[in-house]
Amino acid sequence: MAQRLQKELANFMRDPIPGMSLDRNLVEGNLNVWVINVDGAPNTLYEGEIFKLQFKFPQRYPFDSPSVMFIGNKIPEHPHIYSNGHICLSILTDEWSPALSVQSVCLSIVSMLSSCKAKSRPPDDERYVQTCRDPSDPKKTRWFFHDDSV
Amino acid sequence: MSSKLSADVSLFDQSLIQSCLKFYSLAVNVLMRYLNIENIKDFKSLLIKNVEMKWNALPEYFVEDIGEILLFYIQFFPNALQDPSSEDLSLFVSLILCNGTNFIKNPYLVAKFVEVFFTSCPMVQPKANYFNNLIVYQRFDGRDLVNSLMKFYSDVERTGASSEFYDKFQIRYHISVIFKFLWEIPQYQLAFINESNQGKQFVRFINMIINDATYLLDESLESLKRIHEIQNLMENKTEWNQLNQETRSQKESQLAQDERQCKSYLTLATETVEMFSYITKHVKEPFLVDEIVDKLAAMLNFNLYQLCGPRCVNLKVKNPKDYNFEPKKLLDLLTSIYLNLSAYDRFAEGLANDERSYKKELFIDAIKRMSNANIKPQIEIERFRSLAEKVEVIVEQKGQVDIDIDNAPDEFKDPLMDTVMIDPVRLPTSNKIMERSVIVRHLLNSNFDPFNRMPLNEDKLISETELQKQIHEWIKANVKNGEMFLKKKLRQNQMELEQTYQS
Repeated sequence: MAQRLQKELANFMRDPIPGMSLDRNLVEGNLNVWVINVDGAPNTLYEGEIFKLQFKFPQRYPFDSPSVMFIGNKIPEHPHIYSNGHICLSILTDEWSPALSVQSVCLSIVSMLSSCKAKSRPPDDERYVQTCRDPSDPKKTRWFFHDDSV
Repeated sequence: MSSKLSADVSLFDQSLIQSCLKFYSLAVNVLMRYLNIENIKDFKSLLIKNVEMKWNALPEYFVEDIGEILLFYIQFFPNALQDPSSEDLSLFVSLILCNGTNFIKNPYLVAKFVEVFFTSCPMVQPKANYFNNLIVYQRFDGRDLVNSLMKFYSDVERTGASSEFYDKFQIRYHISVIFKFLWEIPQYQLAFINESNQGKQFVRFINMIINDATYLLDESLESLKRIHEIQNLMENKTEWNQLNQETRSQKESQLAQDERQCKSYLTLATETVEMFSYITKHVKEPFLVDEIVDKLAAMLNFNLYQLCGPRCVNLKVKNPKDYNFEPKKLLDLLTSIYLNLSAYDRFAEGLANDERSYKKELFIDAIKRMSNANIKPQIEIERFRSLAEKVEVIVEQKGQVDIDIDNAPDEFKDPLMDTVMIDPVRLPTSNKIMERSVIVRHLLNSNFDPFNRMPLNEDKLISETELQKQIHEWIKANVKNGEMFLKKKLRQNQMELEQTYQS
């Protein structure tokens, strides 16, 4: 697994995704947790905003999906992102495949943000944030995907 | 209060106790008749082969009551058990212990009798010596008892209850105390050593000990760190008073919880590590098999790192004794395991294979600590030093191999794990080539091709023999000691596949 993460890190540095950069301070010494700075893309609703995205890699990565969530005090306001940072995205749980990578997850999140037409929280935000099983790990939640269009 | 006292008077009445014992010893005789073994005293072995339906039809509490009353008497009236009727009762206890879950299916019921034996051990209840001797010195071969307890130790991994994860530690703690006690008795020690040469079952047993030791030490050292943090915070009065009421009470309850957890986990962990250290003194081979040795080495290194590494100051708590935290004893036990196995090259190789915590400095720190705190005599420290040197040599060689192998062309590497493929296979629909052990591991959980989500199962994988030959040739030509490396990889691969199938 160390080798796989090394390679992903190298790839991530080599072909960076526009608007995303690795938070270096947090990576050093521990390859199992990455924090990525996300700049809201120009000409989208999030232009000028800065978010922090956290990846946690489980022992069985890449057979198990990473835990991915927004952290810090700025969480993007989006119909699929809860105010505690959890993201409702099928490839992070049910549709994960070991052939996916940090880059492909990042791309999905960028496109999810960019295609957003109106800022809002998910309809069940308040209830979910109070009742989710583990605020620090979105993977403990059983997700139901109600919208495939975004 | 008065009702409690009157209950005490009537329940603790000598003649009542006597008649209870008599009753239960008769009950035991009836139960044995159900098992068709009323003449068990003439038998050579306590093992029960076939169990009849009529036994299975009995309610559990017939047996459970016997366990309960024995537990109660051993704790509070050990003298009452110096009675002829104890003989049958002790026989029944041995019978259950030797058969494990063979004729009593409920593991918790067997665990109750393990607890009975545990409570009667001299280090727990010295006054129950008479009853304890009855169990220990049955005329039967000690091997059955050791074998069965060892099996039970491994089996409680799954009890079926939702609390199984925590229950097993309690049960295993009882068994490890029993083992520590039995180990001092020559005939049982012999039984242990015999058992260890039998293979599979013992390896499984060791595997469980490693898992437990890893988990328990990890958890308890983590909670020690948290205790250290909160204690420091409370020490600093001004900072502490600045926190608001809610945070303070939250921290306090966190502290209380950590203290509780730490105490019970550390007790268990120390017991487990101790078991390791005395077993490795006499038994070596089972610890050196491929499935075990790397795992064991990683566990040892990690804990050595926790105790001696740069961050060990975080383990300093105010009142270590309250949590049964004895860092010197723990270090002593851990290092004796290293020393017990130090003569074996495979063990040194295992230590070198550990990428998580092994560092050259780690062993240097450990040596410093051992000599400063007088934990080990000079001669053993020297042996430890030579072990450290041996490991370092292997690490250097390995580093070279890793560099060589990393230079392999990309088409020789598995696309998911980025490691060189030893047994490449083609996925029929996506046409990608992957290492067999990697794709098999993936298919175990999900039956689709990771690249295109088309249905896929193991039988459809196509061996790439031509590519495999190329890769093997390349390794032999370009990697230092390539031939040996390849052999080792093939062996590892085989093992990984087997493990995957098992899980």
